Order: sequence, then structure tokens, then C-alpha cells
Amino acid sequence: MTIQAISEGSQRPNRLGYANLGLGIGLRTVHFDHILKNEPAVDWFEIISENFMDSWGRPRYVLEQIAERYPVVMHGVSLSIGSTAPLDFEYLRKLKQLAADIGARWISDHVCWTGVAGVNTHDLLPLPYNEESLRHVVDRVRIVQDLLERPLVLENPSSYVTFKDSTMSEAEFMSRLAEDADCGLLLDVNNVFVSARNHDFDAVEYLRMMPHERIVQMHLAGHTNCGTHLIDTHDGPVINPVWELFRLAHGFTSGVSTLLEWDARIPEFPVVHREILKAKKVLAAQFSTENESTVDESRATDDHETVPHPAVFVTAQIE
Amino acid sequence: MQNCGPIMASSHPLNHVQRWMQAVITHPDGIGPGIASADATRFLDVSVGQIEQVILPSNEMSSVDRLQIYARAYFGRLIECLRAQFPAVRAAVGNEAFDGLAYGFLVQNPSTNYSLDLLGHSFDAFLVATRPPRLDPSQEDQPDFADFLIELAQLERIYSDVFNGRGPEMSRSLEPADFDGLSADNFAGCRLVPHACVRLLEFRFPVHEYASAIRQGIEATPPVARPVHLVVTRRNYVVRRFEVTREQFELLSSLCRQDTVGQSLETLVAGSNRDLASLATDLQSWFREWAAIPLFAEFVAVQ
Repeated sequence: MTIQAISEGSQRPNRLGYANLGLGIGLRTVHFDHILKNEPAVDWFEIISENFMDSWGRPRYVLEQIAERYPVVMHGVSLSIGSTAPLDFEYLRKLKQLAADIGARWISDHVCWTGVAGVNTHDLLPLPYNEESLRHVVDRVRIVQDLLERPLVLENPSSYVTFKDSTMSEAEFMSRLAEDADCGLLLDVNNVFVSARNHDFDAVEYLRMMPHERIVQMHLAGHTNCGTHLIDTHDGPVINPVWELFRLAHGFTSGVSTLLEWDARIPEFPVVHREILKAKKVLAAQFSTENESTVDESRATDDHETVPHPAVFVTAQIE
Repeated sequence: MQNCGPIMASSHPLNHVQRWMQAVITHPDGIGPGIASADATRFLDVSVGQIEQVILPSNEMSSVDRLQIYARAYFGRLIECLRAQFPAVRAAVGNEAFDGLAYGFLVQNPSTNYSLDLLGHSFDAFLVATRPPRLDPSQEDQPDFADFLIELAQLERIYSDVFNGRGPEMSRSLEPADFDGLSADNFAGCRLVPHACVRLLEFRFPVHEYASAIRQGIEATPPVARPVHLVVTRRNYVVRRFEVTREQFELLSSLCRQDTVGQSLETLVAGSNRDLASLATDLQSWFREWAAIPLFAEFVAVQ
């Protein structure tokens, strides 16, 4: 079935017809040379869209080479689909152009807002979950999908506040959003774990409530334990309780493209690669905390500045 | 805009919630003053004591502490980006002072674009606007440490622009063979079109040397002032910089202004104590070097 047939309202196949690409890694500039030289056996890569949309330098050049060798998915941090500021159509035009240029398999972003009144905070700010915000986001997703001419894939954010104005859970909001806007979901399993701890909800129940057939992709990452709360820092290995949630989510979805994000304190590429390959063992029930280098607890905060991502600045290379 | 009314309302318009939250978490003096600020109260008129009517506490955190996570992250994340873009400025002033400058910059210049590459675009202009007065105003023509920082910030901004912008890699560049068969008169009537990444810069300090040392991890002290003429460009996707003489700089400036080669040479001779004949050997060598860098994409014959 083609994407066109899907968008014409026929029965939705699982994952909106998007392929299960296997196990992927978030593409980061520090790994460019290793990937080009060694062509590691990674199933696919995900890029931060904004790092390449206006780039005509080495990052774009490397991306084009990688896109010739691997499937690539675009993951954005500035769509600001929940903002009450007008949609940025110039941004959307560039997003669509980049997707066409590199043959992106799909385009994803977050259920959040990044700013209003002309300001971009470069953060993934949370929405109150109620009827007004749901209508607002659904309307905007439809516009964006029409413009991009493909179903959008939206990720559950990690968050640190709960609004008194919320009248539904995040899981209900995500489910109704996906159905009403007819879009896909990117289930960030680490975000579910982080937000469950921060907002005192049951992560397993959250996973059960999601519309599993609409989950196109999953994210895995590390986070930081600040004692009273967790922060989504993407700066370490995936901890065992998150692997357990992943195993559960895999069962619910029958398997979807799964990607590891590592955005701070980024180790050598083989370390990142080994981490995502643990997913195979988890799914084969061969994952043993006794035999593997595994982490039971969230990493405790230290002197390192604990800043939630997404912002990733690409540093210039100077002779 | 009027206040939205008593906070007792069961739900607040989404745009009020967003304008309020942004005003609170981006306030330079922190969450408390942010909540009390006019930018916040015009959308949700709530005091710190009433904050639970907007943000709920968790089992382990108060509502204010939860909001504080976003406030810390807002400045922390963007200061981190500015550190990455301006490593030499940071090294020159020290980590703490740099973070203070970056904080002040972000308060006055919040990001308005999705691209982090544009975040520091006016950082050097901010340093110009906020530079301390000279200790001795009669020494206006003597560059001081503030001037050094400003020039360093300009250079690092340009490095980012050149790195991210369009370069010569995927397009044709002028080669010596392109001039085969071209008479001296015809060459004089040509305009040379520079690659889009070429920047011509004049500084009062050798900021390029300091910036390179810092990027290479070499300990460096701020240099003594001396006039510097610099060409910044890109080759093989790496930013390159070349110090040139004043004569070379003036000739390149004329050429990049799209004066013809002949007009550019006339300007050069007029400002020099040498005539064209004595410059001839140098000129051949210069044009060869510039073609090899490469600085020019093509020449256009002027009718």
C-alpha cells in the first residue's frame, strides 16, 4: 500500500505503512569520520533536522553520503506543533526540501511548543492536556501533513511540570491526537520512564493505553537522576528498567524501528553501537544483567551540567 | 492586553498559559521575579503563593521547583551553545566571565530562529554595545582588551557563517588555464566573481592566531595589537584563513566589490608607492595563490 492510498482514508496498516527499519543510531557530528571510514553495520540513522536544513557545509556533505548508504529518518526539535504562534511555513518548506533531498523515510518531531511571541527557547515545552490544546494541535498537524504530503510522526516529550488545566493524561492525549489527526507516534520509552517518575504515573499503564498500531518508531536513551526528579539528558546508557519497558512496548507493537539517542558525553561510536545492539538480546530474552554491562539505576547527577536536550550545536571546523 | 481575570477560572486560554510560562522561565532574575513580572501577570495574574493554581506539585517537588527546571535549562542550554561557538572569547575572558556575558546577551537577544547557528549572530554587536569605557579616553585610537574581545567574537561568528554557508566544493573555481588566450586588455576588463564563502576582514589584533591556538588546545595569552588583513574562506569543507598584505587586501577588496581587474589595479597603484610595472611579478604570484586557494569562481568579461 502506498502512502497516498493511506492518506486517502483506507484502512491504516500498522505503522502507517512505514517500514520497520531495525535498530538505528542518532547521527552526531563526532561520529562522522568513523561512519564514513568504517561503514558500520547500523540499520539506519536519525538526524536532527535543524542541524542540516540550512547547512551547506561539511555536515550536509556527510549527510548526503550517509543517506546514500543507509536509510535516514528526520527528527526535528523546532516544529513547535503545540505553540499558539503561527506555523513557520518557511521552516516547513525547508524541512520538506531536506526530506526530498536525502530521501528521508519519515519526519518526526515532538508534542510540545518551543516558543511564542517570536521567541524560540530551544526547549520542548509541555502542553496542558485538555480539549482546547488537543483541538489546537490536531488542526496544526493536519496542516503540516498536508504541506509535507506525508503523515507526521510525533513523540511523547519528557516533561517536568503538570498543568492544573490538564483534564486528561498524556497517554490519552497522545492517543486521541494520533487518531484525530491521523498521524503516527514516536514512542520514546525513556521519556515515558522519566515522565512517569516526574509525574507519579504508571509507565506500564501508559504503554498499554497507546494506539500501538500507530507507533512508527521507538526511542531509547539515558537520563539523569536528580534525586527528586529525572532529567532527560541523553548522556549515558539505557538503564535496565527502561529496557524492560522497551521489551513490553515491543510486545505491544510487534516491533518497530528503534533508535538510540546519545547527545552529551558522547562516547566512541562502537560504544553507542554496542548499546543499541543490546536491544536484540533484550528481545531474544538473552539479556542478563549478570552477563552484560548493564545499569540498574539512573545515573546520579554530578558536576556535569544537567540540561535536558534537544539543542545540539554543530561546531565549525577551522584549519 | 488586560489581565485574564481571577485565577479561579477552571481553565486558561492556551496562548495565555504559553505566554505566561515563557515569561516566567526566561526571566533573568529567576522564577519568583518572573511570576511577578508584568510580562507574566498580564496573562496569568498569579503570585508565587498561588502557583499551584497553574502548576501542580509532584510527590517530591513543589510547583516552583518544577518550573525552575525549565528556567535553568533555558539559560544553561543556550549558554552551552554560545560556549561552543565562541571558544576563543571564552578562553580570553575566563569561563565565569564568559557565562556572565552570554547570560547578558541572551537576556537582551533571545533566540528568534529555529537555527542555533543564528543564536550568536549578534554577540559581537552586543559586546560593542556593552563595552566598558576606556580607562583613558584620550587613547581612543589605542585598541584595548575590549576591542580584542570584540574582534575575536567577530572572527568566531564569521568562522561559523563560512563553515555553514555555501562553499566552493561543489562548484567550479577559476584555474590558471582559464586565462589562456586572454589578452592583458581583455583580462583588465574582466570582473572576478568570488566564492560566496570569501570574507575580507581587517583587525587591530592577530585574533586569528589566538583563535587557532585555543582551538588546538595551546595555552595562549591575548596578543599585542598589530594591524591584520585576513581572508577567511573554505576548502574541502574546512574553514581556512590567510593573512595577506595591505596591498593584497586592497586589491582583493576592489575585486570583491566587483570593480574590473583594470579598475582594481588602478586603485591599488593610486594608493601605493609602487607602479604597475614593479607590481607585475607580485601580481602574477598573487593571482596564482588566489586561484589555488580557491577564492574565485569565475570571471565575467565586461562589454
